[in-house]
Amino acid sequence: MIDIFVVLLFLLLMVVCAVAALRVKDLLAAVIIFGAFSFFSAAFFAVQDALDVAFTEAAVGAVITTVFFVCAIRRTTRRARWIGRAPRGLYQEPLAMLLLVPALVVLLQAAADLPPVGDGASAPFTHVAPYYIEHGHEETGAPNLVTAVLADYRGYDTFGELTVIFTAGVACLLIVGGKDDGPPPHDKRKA
Amino acid sequence: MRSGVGSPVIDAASRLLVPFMWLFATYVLVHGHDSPGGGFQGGVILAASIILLRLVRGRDRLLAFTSNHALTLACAGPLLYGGIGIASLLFGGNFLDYGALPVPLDPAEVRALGTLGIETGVMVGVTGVLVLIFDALASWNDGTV
Repeated sequence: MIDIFVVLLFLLLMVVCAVAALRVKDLLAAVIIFGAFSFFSAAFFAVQDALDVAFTEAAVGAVITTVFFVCAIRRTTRRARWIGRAPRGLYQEPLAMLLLVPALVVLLQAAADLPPVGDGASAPFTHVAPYYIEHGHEETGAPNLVTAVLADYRGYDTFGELTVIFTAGVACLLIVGGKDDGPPPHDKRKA
Repeated sequence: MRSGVGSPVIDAASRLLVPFMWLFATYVLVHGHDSPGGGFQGGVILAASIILLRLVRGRDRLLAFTSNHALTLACAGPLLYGGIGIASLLFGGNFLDYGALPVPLDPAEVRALGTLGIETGVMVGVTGVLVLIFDALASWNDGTV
């Protein structure tokens, strides 16, 4: 019972952080709030017993992404600036409201059809999952079923993921990396 | 950031912290079979320790781990992963079928060993890519790439 309240608390804090990150004008503050969002997200996963995901979210979302965003702000600008007209509040945009309300209704309708969390009779738990749980340890030698599925049964997918990460790194290097052509503009101003 | 933070307190704290981060990253990789963790998480922790050193020391201090090393690691990771997959193909199994590798152990243990191998590939690749992205974003490139 306590679990439900803790889960709801973390979800609420995530929503608060997301809205705050959107509203705040100072981009550095937005990055820090986004780090807090990742932290609550990791805590949410941990409460839901998804420890592998929580670990990844804490390491990537809360630490590395924050550093990357701070680097990006350092190379661009710290204040949010709009090109052209600044966006108004949502209630001032009748067309957006007209589109969003039906979308909300459809999504809530679809969410009502989802099976409850942890329902053993739902589709994902009745196909290959029982086989993994029964034979995973003896076939792969890995007591952690997440590792057994990720690196062995679904090793091909993980290879694809690693290729995606590699491609992202190379793309970053090609777009903003390469040899340093002297100090960035704000360093020149100082000199 | 060109000259780093330069505070003796932060310098001493990072010197103390980094070896334990490396130990923890290795633990997360090797113990990923039994507990949460694995190559990706271990690689992120290792990359975080290297980025911490870059932030504290600054660019003007020469570092043993250059951008070129990061690029090499980023390429070596997928190569190791795919290499193990092709090796199991050559020994008569399917692609990434570690059970076919010629190691005199139980089939489950051979598979666990193959899993550790590809997790190492993931760790090396993720470490290299994250440091590479940091170097590119922070215009840190030391001219070796």
